Amino acid sequence: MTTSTNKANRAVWLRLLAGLTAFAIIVAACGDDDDDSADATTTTVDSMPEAPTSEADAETPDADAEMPDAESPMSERCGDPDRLGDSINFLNWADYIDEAVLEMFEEECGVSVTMDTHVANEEAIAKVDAGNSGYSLVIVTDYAVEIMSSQGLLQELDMGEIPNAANIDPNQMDPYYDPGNVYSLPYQYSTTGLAFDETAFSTPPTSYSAIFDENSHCGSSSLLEDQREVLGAALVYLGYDWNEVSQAAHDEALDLVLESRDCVTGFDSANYIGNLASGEVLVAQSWGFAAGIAYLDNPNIRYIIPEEGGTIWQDNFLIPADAPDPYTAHVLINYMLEPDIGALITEFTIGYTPNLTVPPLLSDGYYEVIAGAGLELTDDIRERLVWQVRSEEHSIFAETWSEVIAAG
Amino acid sequence: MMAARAARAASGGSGTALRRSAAPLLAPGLLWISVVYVIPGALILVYSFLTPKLGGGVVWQATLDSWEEIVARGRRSDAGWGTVGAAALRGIATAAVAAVPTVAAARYLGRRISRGLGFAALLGALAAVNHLASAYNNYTAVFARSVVWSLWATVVCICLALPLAVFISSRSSPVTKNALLIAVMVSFWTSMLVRTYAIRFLLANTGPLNNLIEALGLDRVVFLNTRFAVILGLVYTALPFMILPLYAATERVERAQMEAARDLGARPPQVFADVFVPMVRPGLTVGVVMVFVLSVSQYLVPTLLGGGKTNMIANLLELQFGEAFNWPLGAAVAALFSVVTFAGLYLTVGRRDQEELL
Amino acid sequence: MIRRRPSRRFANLAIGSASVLVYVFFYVPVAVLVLFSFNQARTGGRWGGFTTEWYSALFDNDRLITAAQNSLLIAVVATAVAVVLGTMLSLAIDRRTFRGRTAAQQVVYLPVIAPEIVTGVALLAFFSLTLGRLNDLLGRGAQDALRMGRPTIIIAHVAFCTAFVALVVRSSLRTLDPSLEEAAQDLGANAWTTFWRVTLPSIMPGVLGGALLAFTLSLDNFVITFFVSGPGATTLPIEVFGQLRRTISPEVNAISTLIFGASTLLLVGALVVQSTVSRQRSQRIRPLSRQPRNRAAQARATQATHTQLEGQP
Repeated sequence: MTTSTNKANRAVWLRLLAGLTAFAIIVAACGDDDDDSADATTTTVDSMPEAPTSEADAETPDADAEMPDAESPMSERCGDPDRLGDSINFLNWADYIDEAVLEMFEEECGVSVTMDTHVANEEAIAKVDAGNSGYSLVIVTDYAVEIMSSQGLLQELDMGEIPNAANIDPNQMDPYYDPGNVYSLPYQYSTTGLAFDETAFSTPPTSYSAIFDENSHCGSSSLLEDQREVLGAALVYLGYDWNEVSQAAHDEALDLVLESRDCVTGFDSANYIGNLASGEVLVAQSWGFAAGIAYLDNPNIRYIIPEEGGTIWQDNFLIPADAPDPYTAHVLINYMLEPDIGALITEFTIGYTPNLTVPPLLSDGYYEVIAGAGLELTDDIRERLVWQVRSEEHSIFAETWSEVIAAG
Repeated sequence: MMAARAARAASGGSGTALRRSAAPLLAPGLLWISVVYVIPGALILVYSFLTPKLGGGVVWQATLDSWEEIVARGRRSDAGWGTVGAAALRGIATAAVAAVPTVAAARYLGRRISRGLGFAALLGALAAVNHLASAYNNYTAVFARSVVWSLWATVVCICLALPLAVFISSRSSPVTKNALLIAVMVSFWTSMLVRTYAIRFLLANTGPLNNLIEALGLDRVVFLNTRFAVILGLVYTALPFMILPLYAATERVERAQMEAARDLGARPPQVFADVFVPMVRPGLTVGVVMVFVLSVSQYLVPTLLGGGKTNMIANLLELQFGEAFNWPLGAAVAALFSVVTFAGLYLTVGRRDQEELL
Repeated sequence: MIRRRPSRRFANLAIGSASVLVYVFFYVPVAVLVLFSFNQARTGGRWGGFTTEWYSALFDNDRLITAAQNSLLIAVVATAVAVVLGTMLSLAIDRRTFRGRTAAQQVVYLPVIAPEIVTGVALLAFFSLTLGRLNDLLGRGAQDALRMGRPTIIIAHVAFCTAFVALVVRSSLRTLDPSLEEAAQDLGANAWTTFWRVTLPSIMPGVLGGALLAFTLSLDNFVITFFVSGPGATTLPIEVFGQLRRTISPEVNAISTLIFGASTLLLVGALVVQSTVSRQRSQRIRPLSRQPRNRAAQARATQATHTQLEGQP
């Protein structure tokens, strides 16, 4: 048959993979064993009480508080031992908690915490919406709470089980997305504005014009990869509301974004922090906490809320309606609202804490970053901040944004 | 051996026995793949006719909105005959420019001029279609771009893999050959995500490559988040899938035939085009299909190296299934994308080559 | 002859330098990540001095270790199942005739050409639907519900791994002369013995190669895994992708360097073993791999098969 040579021909490349690596499998078996033994050693290392924590937490009182707790059979911070589960699944933003907190909870209360991470609210919603996600505690941002509660994906919090809720700043309670805090309690909050390298500007920027119009640093500026933040900034720069949904306004905003596109290195929510630190990017639309992180590596980084305005956003604890262990989730929420634990968390995120008992416990290092990078949240700045709202009519943002994505 | 098998299949009794015994071997694997690919694929098709739900997912209420959205002319598209004219002009211009090298190549390789012209016309048609698609609406634009970039990646992969394949297969020691092939495989074994991140660093404005360029007294070049970076990433990811089949094919090239052609007076380019290429064609086909398919649906490469500015079809899909909360639209794009890719492969890869692939 | 030489040398030089370039292209990014794993500066871009602290930090990094364990476990299980299913599939397609063979082939090729992101999303929709129904059916509540996690990841990985194994094994089968198996059966071996003693040993390189490819693909898969994972089932690529939100941690470079080092050692070891073993083996197997064309050769092959059947324990 004529095809037989061709067949054999084709066959050879696949066989090649085989021939190349046939014996590797045998060696691979030994390699796996090595990995296992390595894992075994790490487990013992991990279970030692000195968990790696951020540099700043040495001053926090937990070092003193933890020891007696560990000796007593069960800390009073762990709720009712009869109702407390053995383990809990926790879905959090990636890189958004000091892992030491989870280890402390594990040690103090005997509940092992499995934390998975998401990189977008939409991902968290999809996971919970799929049903029986297995997560008893989820952290998402404001608008996602509203969407999830409106679709019956959440259960009401039992404030009786969360006495530490009394510690929360009233300013951060009763938000638009969850009036009366029926389903959610705040975890951390921050803002969105502009971060820039001070040494690159003779006069510090005060407006989005630094990116949209007079882009003096063409090729060294970046916008977030977020339809709401980018289009919102363009809308307020043009004099519209951040949550504007009219077609005309969106057409204008789209033109503006497309025009400034050439000067923007990228729409980037991940790499710009490192890029700010390394000087790759000199001015970037940025989340507040991220500017703080960049400041740690590059003390020339400054953060502002432009005169046109910026957003305030808040991440929240919630318990899915089909959570396997709501009680333990309540206990964990209450635990994370403890002053010392709250301090650990905020030292790590460099966000703002909604917990009024936390600020006195935060280290000088934290305040140095906040002051140095210009992250103080004064009343004056608060007036310029708006919340992002999401409902059906805001789908126009996605339509506009797909034009941005489609632009070559 | 084929004849023996055919005879066996034809002879009634054993043929039925064989037919019966295929099922238990076939069923588990086929069922598994069907459950994971065919059924969810069908589900996606169903979703494309449903109503989007805020927060993702669907409301089970039939509508044609998603398909209308895809078919409708884009909000900002250039309307009318102007675009068609521009596309035609662009096609003609491309064909004219391309004709110079293709005709020259045809002459050089001793082929008919019409073949060179035909190839130039094909490129022109591609350019025209690309222009139309880019102007029509977002989906066709991104789709056309993904196809064009993947074609570029495929061409670059061929150019890189061919010399390497020849180089490896011309080593005399089998151990050297294996070592060289293993060197291809080993880099393939470290996480693609981490390697792509390393490429980001290399291409950055303040990265080593640009430092080198500056040290040479030239201006820094923006590599990152451009189509150059994305195509480079596509090539980097898919290159082993071109090298392996091409190597396997070159390994079987009968050098004696090439020598004979040369002794009979064929010039090297002719030997290449008339003797070498036909012999490596099966491997080339496999490589082209693999590289193209891997590239056209890439998500990580445009995400990491395109920086949100140079997106491909997978990014558009991700937007619909993510931030946009429009699963039906995403499903429609996905369905259309799959159908067009399958149809394209089916039509462009000839019958004989299909048998190679499957 | 003499005239040809210069052009030839030039061609060889061009081919050689192009090849070197390809290897440089492959290895520069790898070199960067290895270098960074020893870099004291936490954020990339500048060299802060040599350190091995990221390696010791890696062993304290529970999340990375767990993710690596998950990845390994999933890859091992998926590969094991896929090797069996894929080999069976390829045997059926290559050694049997049945109606709908072309259709079956096309289904097998589906995972190779289906865009990953479509598969991922489709699977999320599919699993959430079926698991929901299944939980209703079994009367399982929030506590003990069936949910996405390692099993769903494995189910997805097995599917595409099976396809790749089937393709690789099939190519091995195609070069194996069926008359060998026929000869074995003529000598009284039943189908199972024939497979175990004749077919499998001959296609073993294909099976192992398929397994290796499947293992690699499973270990490196991001897009599909991302959509079908659940609580506690974070794999290495997903963990790394999450870290990209800040800057990739040096521990990631450290673990990648370890994986790179291990696989290099593995493959170099395999190369050494192969170069010694294949020398011995080639002497033993050569009569088999030639395709017999006449009766005498056929008889020889039968004889060889016979010896092999007897000879192998």
